[in-house]
Amino acid sequence: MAGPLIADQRAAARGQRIYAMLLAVTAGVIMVIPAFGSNYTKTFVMQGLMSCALAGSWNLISGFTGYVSFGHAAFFGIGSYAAGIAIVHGGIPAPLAIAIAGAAAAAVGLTFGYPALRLRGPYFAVGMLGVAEAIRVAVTVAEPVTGGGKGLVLPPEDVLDAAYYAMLAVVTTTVLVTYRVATLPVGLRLLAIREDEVAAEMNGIQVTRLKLGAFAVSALFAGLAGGIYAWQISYIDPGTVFAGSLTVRAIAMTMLGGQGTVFGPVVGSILLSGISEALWTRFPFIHTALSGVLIVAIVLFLPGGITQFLQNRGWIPRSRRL
Amino acid sequence: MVTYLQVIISGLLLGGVYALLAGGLTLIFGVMRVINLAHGEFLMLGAYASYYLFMRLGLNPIVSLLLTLPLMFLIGWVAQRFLVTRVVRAPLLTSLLLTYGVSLALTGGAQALFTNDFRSVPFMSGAVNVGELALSIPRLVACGIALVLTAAAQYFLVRTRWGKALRATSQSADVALACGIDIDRARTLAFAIAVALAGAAGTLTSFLYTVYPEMGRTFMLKAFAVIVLGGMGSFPGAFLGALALGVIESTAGYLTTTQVAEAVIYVTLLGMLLLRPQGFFGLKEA
Amino acid sequence: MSGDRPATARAAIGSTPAGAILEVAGLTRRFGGVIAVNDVSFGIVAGTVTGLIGPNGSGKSTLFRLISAEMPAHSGEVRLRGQPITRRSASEVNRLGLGRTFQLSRLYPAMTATENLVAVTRGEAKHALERAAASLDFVGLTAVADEFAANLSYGQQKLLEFARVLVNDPDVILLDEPFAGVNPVMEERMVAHIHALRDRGKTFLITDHEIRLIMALCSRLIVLDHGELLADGDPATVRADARVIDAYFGT
Repeated sequence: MAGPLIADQRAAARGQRIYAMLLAVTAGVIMVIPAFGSNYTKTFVMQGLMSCALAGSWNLISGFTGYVSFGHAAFFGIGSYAAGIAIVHGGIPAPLAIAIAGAAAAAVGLTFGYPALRLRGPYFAVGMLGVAEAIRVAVTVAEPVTGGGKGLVLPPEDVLDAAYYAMLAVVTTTVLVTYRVATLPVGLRLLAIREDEVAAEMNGIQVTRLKLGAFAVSALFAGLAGGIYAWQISYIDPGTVFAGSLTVRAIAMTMLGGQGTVFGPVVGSILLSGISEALWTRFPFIHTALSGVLIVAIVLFLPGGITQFLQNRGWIPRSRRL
Repeated sequence: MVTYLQVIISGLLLGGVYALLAGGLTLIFGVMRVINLAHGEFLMLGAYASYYLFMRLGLNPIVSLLLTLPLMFLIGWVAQRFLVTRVVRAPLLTSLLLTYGVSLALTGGAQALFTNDFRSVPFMSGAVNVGELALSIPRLVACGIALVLTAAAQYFLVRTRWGKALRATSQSADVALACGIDIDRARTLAFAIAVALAGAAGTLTSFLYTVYPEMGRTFMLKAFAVIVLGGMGSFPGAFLGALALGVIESTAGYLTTTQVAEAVIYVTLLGMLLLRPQGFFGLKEA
Repeated sequence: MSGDRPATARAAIGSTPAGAILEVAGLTRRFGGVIAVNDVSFGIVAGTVTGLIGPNGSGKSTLFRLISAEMPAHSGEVRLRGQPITRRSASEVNRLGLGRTFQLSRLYPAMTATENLVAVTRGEAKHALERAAASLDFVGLTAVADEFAANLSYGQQKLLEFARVLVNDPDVILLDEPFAGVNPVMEERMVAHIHALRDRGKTFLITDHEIRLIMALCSRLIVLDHGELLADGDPATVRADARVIDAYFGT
């Protein structure tokens, strides 16, 4: 469905090729980094992949349906703890523990999503913030199992390369699922919920089922990322894995790239991870403040994200495949 | 029995301070349908202002309130004119993200300027005994000031011309506009007043709790619970919600641990959202 | 105000013809103390166009919302092809073959005209585009198929919303003020579309304040006043009804 308003179709096609090439090159570089990169580089890229997984999974529910979840970190945290507990207390091998992490997050997503997704607009946003905080406190209180505020120590293993590829696989799957969703009517149905939920329902779209499904899949990917993180870092505590800043980074990245698009979260997380790293090394003391200023700047100057910015200029086509 | 009365009263005293913070949050939501995620950081700024005024100039927090109130009002005015006004008509996410950006910038700025050290204002202590009850003096004073300011804000909203304009905008921006109300001015006023109230709440918390750059977060979450209880957009609702939350928190804290008390607050928030999202006094449509 | 009406007058109206495709039986809805729709019953036959008229605030929109399950009724029942649909969700009611438009078009503004249709099209995904194109073609919007809904003119938006209802081929179509604010050219097109669809066996229930158009378009008029059925019959009879004249022009 190529869209209107494109002054020069050839420029748009060229733009799309450049866009695709940049993404392909990035993907290629990311693939080979473990073979050549230092541990520092690997850790940095892995952090970026983790952010990308969170951004991509947040985009699936909030970018498409417009249900702004301010509690996305909860699913990452649930995943981390599910994997951590499975490994420490259950002696379960890591791959299975990570699968459990995803399943646990999806289950929690379904449980809380069913009531929470009945809430509209600001009530859902505030409600999910409350859910995330409540889960964080619950994990902190459940000390015998979770280690409480002191955190949970996993058996240390040097699994950086394996975790790196696992995280890459989660990112790739998230992007593929998003692509699949966006190019089928189901993606348009999700967008229709964002545009006008009543009109969606009245036209026969099964709103509740779709929202819940998107929410569960979104939680699944966030949970998988959390599980891989716990396995690799081998120490987790509630303050880190339930940090609200994880949610907001994911949101900022998606906004920057373009919410409700396929590659928006990828583009956004590459840019924001890069900028953030550059800021961090040069201005460690005012890093947080600069991130804040950066977010404000995105909101004010690029509210539709980079994808829409390029589309408005006719440099890339208005396609839901992007 | 006496102990429980003690618990209730300390809850109510706590609630008085929450009312100041939540009142502003609900005012902003009512007038603009914007959830101000930076509200806790305005409290933090107020707290640091009174900390430095106390340490450097020896001004006690009650006196420094006369400086922090107008200062925070001005900050609020500027923040609205240059930032928030640009996203009022945008989708919810845009304003959420903008105010979160402001919140991060302020927290980060405070970390860089004031360091992460915990600070406190050694001002007032002790307790008065009323019968068998022991009431903390600083809490009594803080709650008293909070009540005076809340009453003043309520008087402004109900009695004055601009206050009425503000409430009209809150009921329906379109109708207010049609009635010739300068809704941009009303919104700016609402934000400035809200920030001033948050700053005042900061001043009061500066001698009740520790002051540190990330202190705003917990307070903001509590303010959320308060306005959900009272009904988002309702100023009197926020007041009653604040008292209710204060009592819930202190009761839960008395019966269990502080951590569980915190969880109880969030569970209250969620339960309320699910059972009666418009709260007890909320606007019909969000 | 309405209580002093003789009961016999009500017994004669709100008839349910045999084989009605849509039946409304004793439908009631209150808002606080106000009764918006009070014990309304009628039935409409397949392949007809029925007008639902009444002064502002007479309960037309509420009745539409009750029939399409946008809001629950306090009592009474709605049946589609004899099957009760009152307890179903709005989405299910639509899937059973009852589509509706809104007084103010509710499109998906950031989606193109085609996408607005594809989003709601049921059945196999690969046919969705063709069906959307056919529906757009029917209402004459092919030229703006790739335009964002937000950029369409007011009349085009009305037509697009109509096309969106048609894309799933419903049997019963409720149109809420399809002519409000529409220019005469668009008006004529809309009337032509409705007649063409009626001839294919579709059933319409239409509200509008354009009495002239409604009279011409409908074979039967149902008049609501203060939430109650006031009159029911062919346009000529209803126009001559003293109570209708009273409700519209009386004090």
